[in-house]
Amino acid sequence: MEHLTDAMRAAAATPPPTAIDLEQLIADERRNSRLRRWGAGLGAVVAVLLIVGGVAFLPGLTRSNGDGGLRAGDPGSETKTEPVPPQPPASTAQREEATRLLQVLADALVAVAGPASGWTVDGTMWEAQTGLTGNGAPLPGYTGSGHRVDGNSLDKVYVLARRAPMPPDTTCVKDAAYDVDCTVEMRADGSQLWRTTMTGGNQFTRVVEVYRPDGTHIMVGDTAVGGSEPVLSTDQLIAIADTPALAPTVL
Amino acid sequence: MDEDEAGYREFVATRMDGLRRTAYLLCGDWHMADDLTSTALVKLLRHWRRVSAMEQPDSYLRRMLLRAWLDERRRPWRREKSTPVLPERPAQSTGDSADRLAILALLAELPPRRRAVLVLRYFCDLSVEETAEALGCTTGTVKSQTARGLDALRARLVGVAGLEMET
Repeated sequence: MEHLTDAMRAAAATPPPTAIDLEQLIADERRNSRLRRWGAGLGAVVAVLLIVGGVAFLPGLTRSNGDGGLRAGDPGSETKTEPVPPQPPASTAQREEATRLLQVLADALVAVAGPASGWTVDGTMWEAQTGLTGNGAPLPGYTGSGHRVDGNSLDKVYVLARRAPMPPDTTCVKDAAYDVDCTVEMRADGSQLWRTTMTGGNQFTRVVEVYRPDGTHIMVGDTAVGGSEPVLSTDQLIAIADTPALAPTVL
Repeated sequence: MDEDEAGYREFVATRMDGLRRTAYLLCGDWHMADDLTSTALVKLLRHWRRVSAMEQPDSYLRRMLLRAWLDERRRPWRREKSTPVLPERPAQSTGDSADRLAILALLAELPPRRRAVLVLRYFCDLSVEETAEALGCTTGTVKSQTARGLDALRARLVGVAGLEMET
């Protein structure tokens, strides 16, 4: 070798077979492209909700239907921004119930993640029509949120507590578009458990929904922003969702 | 989109090999070279319609690769730890394979942008102006980085037989 150019060419002269699958790369990008478009639409819906609701919770990260969870072939995969009706003010009893549920959420986070886990609850509120981002019936209930900051990573936990009929259709989106993965389990106690994960848009969301036999519908989700996995595992989210006191007594 | 993708496939098919080799010289590891190449190819695909209309889509692709690598280098867990003792220099070369390892080891000791300048200038055969455009710096910076990079390589060449440089 006489000079640097030759040395460099020789150093890179015998590459191993590439691990790059161009077809897979194109397919992944197609899917991510759809996800970005979907995420942008979803962001608009969330923004509207934040303005109307006045709290920083993110129910829109999963399409919670009024009478069920994520469904195969759900037309809601193309987000529609529907006009949000004005919310009536909460009654005193509903505000007190929101306060109680906030404490239940705080206690549940400590119970599953430990007292020094860094979670802070933000607030809980009654809403006349929860599930506005989904296709199902908008039912009254309570929504709440919390957050956890660790260095550059941010996790947001959100909870929905209301009464809703158990979905008769348990067809779940599985390996569908938008990087959504979902499973449904009928549990021995008669409850329905939906587990969903969604990735994309630099976010990773893990959601569980429990439909209890008594008609209570609890949804708990954890969204990690910044590329990391949510701090709360699916089992921890299930534990929160199964907290007996996490159920609305005033609607 | 199908026509776009066909054009993309055709373009990538003719550039993939060179891109991987460039990435390898930058990072010194074939696995990471594939990762960097994939990152650049995804970005290229994302903007293919616009890039394919450019006069020099290769420049765009090269910039994406460099940016991917420099971004990777900036990640905290990628940063090398400084040690009080300098690492051993490559052993006396006894043949081509030793020379290959030696040049990679020598390049690895250079700061990222200086290494990028040398790879672009001496492997990709880019001019000073093209290198400056790829790195987003001035031609003066490219010249000075080239000179310093070559000086550093010369200084480290002691004991590595067979490697000479031509400026």
